[in-house]
This record gives sequence, structure tokens and C-alpha cells, in this order.
Amino acid sequence: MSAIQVKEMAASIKSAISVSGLTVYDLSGIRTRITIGDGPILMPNPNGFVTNLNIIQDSLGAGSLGGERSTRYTLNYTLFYSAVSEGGLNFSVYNLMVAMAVDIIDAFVADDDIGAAIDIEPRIVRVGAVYDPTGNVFHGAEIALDILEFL
Amino acid sequence: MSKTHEKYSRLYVDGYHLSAHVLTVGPLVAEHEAEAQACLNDAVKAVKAIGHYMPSLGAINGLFDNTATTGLHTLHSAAGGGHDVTYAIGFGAVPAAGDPIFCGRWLQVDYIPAPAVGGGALPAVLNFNNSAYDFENGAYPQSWGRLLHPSGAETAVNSGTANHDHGAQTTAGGFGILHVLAGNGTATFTIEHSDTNADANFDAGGAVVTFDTTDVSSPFSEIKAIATGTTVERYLRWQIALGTATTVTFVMGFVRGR
Repeated sequence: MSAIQVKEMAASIKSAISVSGLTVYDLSGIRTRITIGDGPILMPNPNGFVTNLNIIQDSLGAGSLGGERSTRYTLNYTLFYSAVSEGGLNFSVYNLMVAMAVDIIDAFVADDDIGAAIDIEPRIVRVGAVYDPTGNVFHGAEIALDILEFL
Repeated sequence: MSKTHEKYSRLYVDGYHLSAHVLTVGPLVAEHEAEAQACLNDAVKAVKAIGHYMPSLGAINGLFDNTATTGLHTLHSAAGGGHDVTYAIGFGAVPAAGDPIFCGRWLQVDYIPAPAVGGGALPAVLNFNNSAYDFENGAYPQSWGRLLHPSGAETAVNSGTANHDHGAQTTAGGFGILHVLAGNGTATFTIEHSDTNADANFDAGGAVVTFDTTDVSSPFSEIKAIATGTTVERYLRWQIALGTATTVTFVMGFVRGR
């Protein structure tokens, strides 16, 4: 049985996803603080990166008898587009942020064969104010990736 | 990889690649008629397969698509005709040479656009009968075979090695299935066999199946059966001889007799 490839998936996503102007981080790049001017960043959400991980029994057999299994889980990312307070309460970039969130989804739709994933279904969970780990607020989006892996 | 996901399957019908219009295919059924008169307390030690083997394509669940020439509605809204079908199943990738195919010719008995469930795109269902319809398949009650040439264009003859190794020779004939998706001019298609996996041996062994149709200027399909009892060597490869055509995009498979 193959090991669940969550850590490797984050690295594969960093390598595979290319959106103009966006920097994608994997688990080794999680920032505690995102500063004004860092630019659009897509970062694993450290407070809930992996959710809803389930093991699915595909066939008979267990333990030493083997058996086929799959796993489904959700990887949660946050798009930090620009600081809300940049130049005052700044909503002038809101439309650009929404466009980038959609571009990220499009990138996953175009390539859902990333790393160990058999299937990737991207979702925009929410668009609006997002917070870095130190509480700074940004225009951004919460993006979830529902992943199927064969084990 | 020992298991797969349906996203790696591909459906070809009558020379048209329908995967982008189809959600599910099947269930793919292979069953024999069996004696139904046994009672619960009869000492039935074995069920003898009698009558016909009845492979069934089941149903094609697709999208109601009115695209000219290639849409499901355009091609299949008139039920009642027979169709050559190849359903190729890839493992972790698009179907490749050697992957399983379920193929044959079946009668489309209906065409049923239905209300969309959950507010999605309008679906359409095509049901197929479970008998070997209008096809030499009556001599070959099998539908599971192997893909020899996945969808792709060829501009020259095949001088490579086997596209499928069956492991051993068989002596029960079989049938080839061909879908030409695009091309120009004329070309001849064959399936070559050999007991040795080398180009020269295939050239010497010659064709075990020669398809009849040569005009590749528009999509077409063909099922070509060979005589029952024909020896089919262990190794098989696709072959093409370009006539006036300079490129042909096609899918080819073979089902061995048993």
C-alpha cells in the first residue's frame, strides 16, 4: 500500500501551478507574516491545511492480506492578494484579486493530474478578507482542493 | 497500477471520439444464458452455459449536445441502428497499447434526453441491446480485447515491435476493430502477428487481419472477423500502408477468440 502523499502533493502543486504574478508556496514555505508588497501568494493554510481525510476500502482484504484502498482529503490554501490597508482601505484591486482566484481554479482544471492525485477538484470556498498567521488582513480567497489518491 | 479511475477511459463509436460528450458507459456485461428451471432444492452441481453468450454495452450516459457532425444528439438521436463501439480503459493515464478494450457492434434501442439532476447540463441516455447484432460476433462471443493503437496520428508504416504480448499463441481466431477518426486519401489497415517480437518477424508473419475499408477521408469504423480456428500468434502489432493519405488518426484493437 502506498503512503498518503499529502506533503508531496504540496510540493507537486507548487511545481505544477503557474499563474502570472502568483507565487505558490509548499509546506516548507509557510510564512508567519506576510508583508505589504509581497505580492500575490498562494500558501497552504497552516490552520487547517488538511481536512476531511478519509480512507476508502476499495476491495476485500485488510492488514497482512492486503486489499485496495483509496483516500480522499482536502488541501486548504489561502490566496493573499494585497493588504487591505495598503494606501488606505483599498478595494481597487478587488476585481483583480477575484480574477486571480479564478485563474488559480482554471490552472487546476487544466492540469488535474498533479503528483499522486488521481483526481483534483478545486473549489473557491470564500472570497474576501483573509488573515496571515499574525493577523494582518489581506484581500484574498480561501481555495480548497478535493483530492483522490489511490493507495 | 492495478486499479483505475473512469477519467482514464475513452469511448469511440463509428469512428467518432465521444469521450468529451459522455459521462459513464456500462455496465459492461458478459453473460451466458443459463438454465432457469432449477428449483431451490435441486441438486445443481453446475450450470451449463447454454444458448448464446450475450455481451452488453449497457448504456451510454452522455450530454445532450447538438454540435454539428460530432455531437451526441447529431450522431445518435435516431435510435434503431447498429454501432461499432470501442470502450478503452486506461490505467493511471489515457489508454495505451495493451490496455483492455470492451468492443463490438450493438443495436442502439433508444435515445432518451432526460431532465438534468441537480441543475447541471442536460443529459441524454443511449441504451444498447445485449445480443450480438448484425455482426460476425456471432462466431466470437467475446467483447474483451486489447488496444493495439491508441488514438493518434500516423504518417508512416509501423516498424516497431509488438503493441501487445498475449503470452502465448491462440488457435481460436478473433476479430479486429478499427475506428478512423481523421485522415486524407486512402490507406490500408492490418493487424500483424508473430511468434517472435521483432520487426523482421512481423514482416515475415504477415497480416492476421486485413480491414476492408481504405477511404480515410471521413470518419468510419469496421469490425473484421477472421475464421474461427485461425492461429493467432503471441505478439500483435498494428500496421498501416499509406495509399494517397499522408496522415491518418485511428484507434485499433483485437479480440482473441476463446
